[in-house]
Amino acid sequence: MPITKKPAADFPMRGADAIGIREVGFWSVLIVAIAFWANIVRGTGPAELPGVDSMAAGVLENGAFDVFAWILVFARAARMFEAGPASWRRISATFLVGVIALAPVRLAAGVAFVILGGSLLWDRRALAAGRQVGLVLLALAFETVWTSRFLAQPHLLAGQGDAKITAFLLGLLHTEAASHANIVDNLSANFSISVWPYCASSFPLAGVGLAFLVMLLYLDQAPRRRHLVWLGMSFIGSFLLTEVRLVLLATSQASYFWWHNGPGVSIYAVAALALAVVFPILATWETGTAGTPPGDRLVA
Amino acid sequence: MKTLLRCGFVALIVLSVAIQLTHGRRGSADSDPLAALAAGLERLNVRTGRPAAGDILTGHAPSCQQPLQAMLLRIDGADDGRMRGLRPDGGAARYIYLGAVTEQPNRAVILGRWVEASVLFTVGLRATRPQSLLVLVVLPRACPDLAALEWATLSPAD
Repeated sequence: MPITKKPAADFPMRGADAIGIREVGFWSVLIVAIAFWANIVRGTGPAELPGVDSMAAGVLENGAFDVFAWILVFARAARMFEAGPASWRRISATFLVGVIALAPVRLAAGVAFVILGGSLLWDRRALAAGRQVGLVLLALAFETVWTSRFLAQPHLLAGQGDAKITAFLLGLLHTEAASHANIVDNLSANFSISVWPYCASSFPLAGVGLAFLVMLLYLDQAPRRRHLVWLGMSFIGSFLLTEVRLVLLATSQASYFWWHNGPGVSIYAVAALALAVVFPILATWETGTAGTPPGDRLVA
Repeated sequence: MKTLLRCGFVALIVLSVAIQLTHGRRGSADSDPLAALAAGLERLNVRTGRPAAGDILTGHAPSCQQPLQAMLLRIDGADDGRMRGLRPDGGAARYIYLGAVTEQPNRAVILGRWVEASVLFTVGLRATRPQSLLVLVVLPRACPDLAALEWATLSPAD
């Protein structure tokens, strides 16, 4: 006997004055996006409103892939649902995420992303674009939590491991070095660095995951289990890049300033960006060759 | 109904931007930490002059003829090289951060305190964002009684 799934009661709006579900979906994305970016660009000075420079710096510091992710979200926001009137449940959910995102804490936006993203994945009326937006919002929520101050302590612990690895790598380069807690002492150069939570190898991993997902979606690929291997390789690549950066930072004070505040920052950012792009492309390339044989090839 | 709902969505957006920008102006660190340090030394009855090279403050306590030195250092140790500007025969050092005074800069402990204070600030249980600068005071060897001053006031816990 076939099992039929009883549709959940959606209580759609009736009448000519009913608002469309596509419009409500777009409003929900717009509300959480503005709350998210307002939190990022707001000023931290005691008296003045944020200037254009600090706003731009806030956006750039947040990472290029957050910008790409939101471009992708808005490119799909108008076609997340099939046409029709919005349900009261969808309208209530939009107001709920809007009220949660009012809290002036970045984590509030993360909670709003989880509710909105989860509801998009779960909604029967959501189209493929809606489910993609849902996935991206969940990845943004994970990144928001992962990089929050609440998880600074675990990143600090990861930084202790990074300090040990950096000292070990410096030793391989015939540089006398030691580590204690989060400190790497370059004894040869009489110089030391401290690995902060934001510099630990664990810190960028959520961003790497988001970048991987966004690239997959830009390449019109649905996330699949076999992509997990490539995602794991992205994580390993990010980890290795962080360790190389820490070794360069700990080499000498001049090297520290070059890699921490000088042109080295851009070089590191480009290398991280390249890694984030390469692995999803390799993942989709593998999918393409295995899944869709060329027209002139026969399958035995 | 449609218009009412749209007005509600727009109101949420406007309210959200207003709250975020207002929160951003909430009390944070001092805009001029060196001036705040000089003011803190004055409260301890230590007269200070203009900062020397490397932003090192030199002060005189009434009970001691030898000068003391004070400076701000990043807690991640990035500008520890500036300590070379201190007197080579410097006496006892005091590292002051968020109400704690130590004789050695234990970076791991300091970072832990910064993380704790940052979390408290984020959840609203702390009024000000913790500074990423610690205060280093070098006391002259000739005046050991200066160690008894309330140096913690230079970087208060709250």
